[in-house]
Amino acid sequence: MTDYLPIVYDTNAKTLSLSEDVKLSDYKDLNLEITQLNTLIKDLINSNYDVPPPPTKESYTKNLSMMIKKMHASAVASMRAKKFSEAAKQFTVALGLSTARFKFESFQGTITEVMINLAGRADANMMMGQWLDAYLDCDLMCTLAANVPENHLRKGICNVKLGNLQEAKSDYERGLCFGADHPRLLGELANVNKLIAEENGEL
Amino acid sequence: MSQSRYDYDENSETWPYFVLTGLIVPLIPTTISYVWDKLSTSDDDDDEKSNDRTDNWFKTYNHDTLSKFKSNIQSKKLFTKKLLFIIIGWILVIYLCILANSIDIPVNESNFNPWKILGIDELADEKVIKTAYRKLSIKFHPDKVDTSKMSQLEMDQVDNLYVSINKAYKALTDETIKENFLKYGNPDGPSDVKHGIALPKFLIDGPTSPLLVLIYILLIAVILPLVVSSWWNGVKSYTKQGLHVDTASYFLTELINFNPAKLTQISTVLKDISHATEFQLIDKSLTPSKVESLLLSQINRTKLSPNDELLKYKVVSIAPKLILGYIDIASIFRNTEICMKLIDAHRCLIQALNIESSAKINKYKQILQLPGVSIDKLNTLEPIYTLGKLLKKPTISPSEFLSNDNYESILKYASNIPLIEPIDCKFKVPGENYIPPASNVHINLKFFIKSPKQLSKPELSKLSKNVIETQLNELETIENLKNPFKLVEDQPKIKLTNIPPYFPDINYLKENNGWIAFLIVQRDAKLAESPAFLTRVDLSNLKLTPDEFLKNSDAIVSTFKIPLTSPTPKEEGSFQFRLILKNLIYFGSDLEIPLNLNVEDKPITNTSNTKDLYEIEDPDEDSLAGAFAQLRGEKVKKVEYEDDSSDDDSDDSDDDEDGNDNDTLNTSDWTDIDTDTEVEEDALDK
Repeated sequence: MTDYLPIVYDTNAKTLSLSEDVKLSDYKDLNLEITQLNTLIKDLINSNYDVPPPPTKESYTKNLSMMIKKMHASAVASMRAKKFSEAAKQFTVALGLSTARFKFESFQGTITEVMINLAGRADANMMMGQWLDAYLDCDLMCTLAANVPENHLRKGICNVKLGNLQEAKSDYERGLCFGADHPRLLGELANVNKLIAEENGEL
Repeated sequence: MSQSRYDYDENSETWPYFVLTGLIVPLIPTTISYVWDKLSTSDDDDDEKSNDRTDNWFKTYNHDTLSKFKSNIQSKKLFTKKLLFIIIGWILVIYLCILANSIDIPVNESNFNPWKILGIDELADEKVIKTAYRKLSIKFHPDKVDTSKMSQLEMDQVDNLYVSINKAYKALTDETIKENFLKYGNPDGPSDVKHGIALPKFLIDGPTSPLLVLIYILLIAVILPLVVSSWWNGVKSYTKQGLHVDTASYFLTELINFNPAKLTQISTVLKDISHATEFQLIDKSLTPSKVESLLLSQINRTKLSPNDELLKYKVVSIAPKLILGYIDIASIFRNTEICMKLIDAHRCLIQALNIESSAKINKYKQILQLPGVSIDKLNTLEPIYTLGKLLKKPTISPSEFLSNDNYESILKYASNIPLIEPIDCKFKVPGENYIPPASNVHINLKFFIKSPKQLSKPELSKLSKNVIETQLNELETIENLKNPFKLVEDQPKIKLTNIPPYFPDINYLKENNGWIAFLIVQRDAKLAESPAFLTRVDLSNLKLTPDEFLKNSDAIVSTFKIPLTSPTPKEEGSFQFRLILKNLIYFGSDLEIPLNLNVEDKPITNTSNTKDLYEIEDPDEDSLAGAFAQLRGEKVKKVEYEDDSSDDDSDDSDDDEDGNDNDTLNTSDWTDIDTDTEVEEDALDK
């Protein structure tokens, strides 16, 4: 006898779901996969194609990109006007737009759009002194694009402000791997080294 | 079976030797290994006594049960099965020796001893032999002995005795008989080969023989297969790192299903650990959730019921070993995140500290790992987060900061925690001063061990000459080039300077204190190599006073080398790494160093015009290799004919090399043909 996974198909909504007979806590991973599958199916149905066109550089929803750009521009304007909390909100909206892209489209543009907005939101949070929120964005940026020294600079600054000096030091050092003479990174590294020495009672 | 062709041990004269041999064969190696173990650990014990025991001034919340558990382990370590075997074994050996000594072996064909028969010393000369023989032969001559009152049996005995006296005399005097005796142990010359069984006859032929057969069957058909299969199962059910296979496969599935979107925490890795099969082997009642709660109660320092408390110690004692096994598997997946959390979990279990429970505890973790310090007593308004700050430049007096009467002992404990102060860290290929492509490279880290109370690091020029010559600058001797890791291996094993009070198994700490080293690729922040362990370091710098450390030349430089399993890249370029050293026991003794691997391809150039001594010479003109070299257009060595005058010859060869005129072409053609035919003939012959 084969054991079947506890999955139920809803013909009306055209979605899968976990059977109600089993505990959700036992099937957390399955539930995650079901959600992912539902998202894909929804996008497929909404695309109005039997088979979605192959994801090329050209074939993507340009409207969405325009909207993201506009949102980003207005967020930057808010930053200039020093309305940081408003800017953070606008960046969040832009971020939501860029992640809501149709799943069968070219993915290439998504990362850059996400990165721009994340960087903006991190900066806005840093200006407001929301170091923890900023740190989380920076951490994500360092994972998504490790070869941009500025990402590590941002993360390092957040770590200094959060009191994690050793982590900040390794952030700056990692940033310097991708831009050996980044003046700001070098300056911050010297700074954090001094702070660490002070914390260790060396100075 | 009555007409057996074997000799039995009727007089029970052989079995003691038989048993003795069987006993000594396993006993001697066991004893040697036991004594060796004891000797090698006794050094540590001496050192331990010199350390201040934390028990004297600080008692943990669970002191009574914990110390009972600890002493239980220690006594178990002292009275092992091995020791019991050794003691009983040697008693038996002594008994058997006495027994074997007391056995009087009667003279018969198989053990002929002419000296014993004549009652003389083995070193006696001919004169003594003769007098002894004469006396005995007179005494026991059949004609001289009064046989009238003797039975037939007694008469036979006397006859036999006289014969053997004669034989013994001849064996010692007559040349041929003496030779027979020396060769075969018997004056009559070679006798039939006999097989003896070191068991008395009644055991085999008597009513007990079925019992013996039963023992044999049991031994061969039951016990032997059982022992072999249990050994094989043991081999099969544990991995090389000592993890149970089921545990290893559980860890493996966890890592395969690793979700990078989820935050890895100490509590999550402890949850993973709690599924290990090893816990069920301790006690069947230990379900994963129970184990998890026990592990959490260890790091939260909560007291449980006496029964659970005992279970907790058992669980906590083996958990660190499982964590190290988990790290080993996680490093194959190059998973930095899990490895770092596992190390933190390892330290949390040992120091009984939950650094995730609050930001404050995380911040003050270096101070809180000290015995007798707790978060509610600590003055958390002061920014004293590190051991260095506490010992060197506290913002308020330590007694006020720690609010503990034993603050002096606490500070002493803190100053015994070893820190690493790096001097130099680089990639190194033995015998080269740059990194060539596709070469075997190792990381060479030079550092000072220092106490948190010691300031900065000494200037290298102030170190003693000996240290500079041997430890700081390694000489490129043949020995060092052959085994670049010898310097590391020569350093003593790290000794446990403090005894962390909350961890139940001191023996584990003694074996596993030190640092674990991870090499991380900067580009993707993943592990480049499996972790290496820094276990050999001289900690004598800890005992120096800050002044001695800084100004005088007593400081010792230590070395750590990590071999890289993969060779350097084939193409030139710069590759960035990060070396992370994490202490397995203490917080605040970690090290992170960025490392640059510059692969350069320097062509080997002959700067001088002098000929390379070890260069392979051009092949001879008239050899097969020479012929092929000529076909390829390479140089060959000209053949010098003996009958030619030397002057002419040298002229000729000069001409040949310079001009390559017709003459040489001809000769080379001829040599070609010659060699070809030779080859063909060879081939035909075959």
